[in-house]
Amino acid sequence: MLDPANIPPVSRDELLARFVISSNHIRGSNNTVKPDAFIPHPRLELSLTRHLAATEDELWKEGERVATIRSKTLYGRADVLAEAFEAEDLTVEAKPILENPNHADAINWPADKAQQKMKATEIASKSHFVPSPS
Amino acid sequence: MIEAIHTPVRFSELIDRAAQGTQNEIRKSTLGHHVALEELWEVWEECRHANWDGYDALPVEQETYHRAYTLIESLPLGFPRPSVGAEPDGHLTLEWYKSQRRTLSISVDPDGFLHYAGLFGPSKKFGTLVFFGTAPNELIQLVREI
Repeated sequence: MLDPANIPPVSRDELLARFVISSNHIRGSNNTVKPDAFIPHPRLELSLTRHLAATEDELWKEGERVATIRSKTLYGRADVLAEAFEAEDLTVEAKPILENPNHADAINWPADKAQQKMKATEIASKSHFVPSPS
Repeated sequence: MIEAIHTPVRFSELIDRAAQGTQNEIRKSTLGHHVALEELWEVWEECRHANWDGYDALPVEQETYHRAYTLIESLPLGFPRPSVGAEPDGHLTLEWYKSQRRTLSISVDPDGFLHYAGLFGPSKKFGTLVFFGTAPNELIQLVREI
């Protein structure tokens, strides 16, 4: 994981992870992720984890931590490049937290639901679902 | 026989009910609505409580469930079956998916609006429709375009 004392800004070619902890966010037919997983709520920001300087093990541990504190099952993660968010006029900001120095937020979402859905649909179409190893 | 002659209204009601019953059975048994309605129930059961996603998701209200139920029931005979999901703002989703670039998702909200977004190959469409109790023609057309 990143050094908390030295967090670089998110670059557009970085890979980001959105942990999936709701089974109805995955298409069982082909293991892809629905736009539902990328709808921002309750604030107009979407929580992500940067792959930068993180091992697979560290990423999964963070996913398990996120799922465990919420008493949910970690189904996997949706990996997507930061440029997919930028293409939708969203900004991905590094927002390290104590438990996760690689934490980031996608911000600047519109308030209109249909517009949110359209951006989420485009981003989801560019994502790759990685099932949880556990 | 004499009773039937003197109660024409009751006779027509019987005919109407019989026709509707047959139509409903056809709808349920061969057209996938029954499967979609079961999936709707399962999603609602999972998402009817606050914080169902662990990220402060709003509960899916009963009114939202009823609107989604009515929408599915009102889809034409033989229509492709949607996949059901839920969003953290408490909306239920119906999705028709062929590929990453050919997909349409509808969000059903508790206030009677249907918010849609879809990819149709190189183009995309999004917007909001008002739900009056039957599937809007615009929705039908959008699904046929996928």
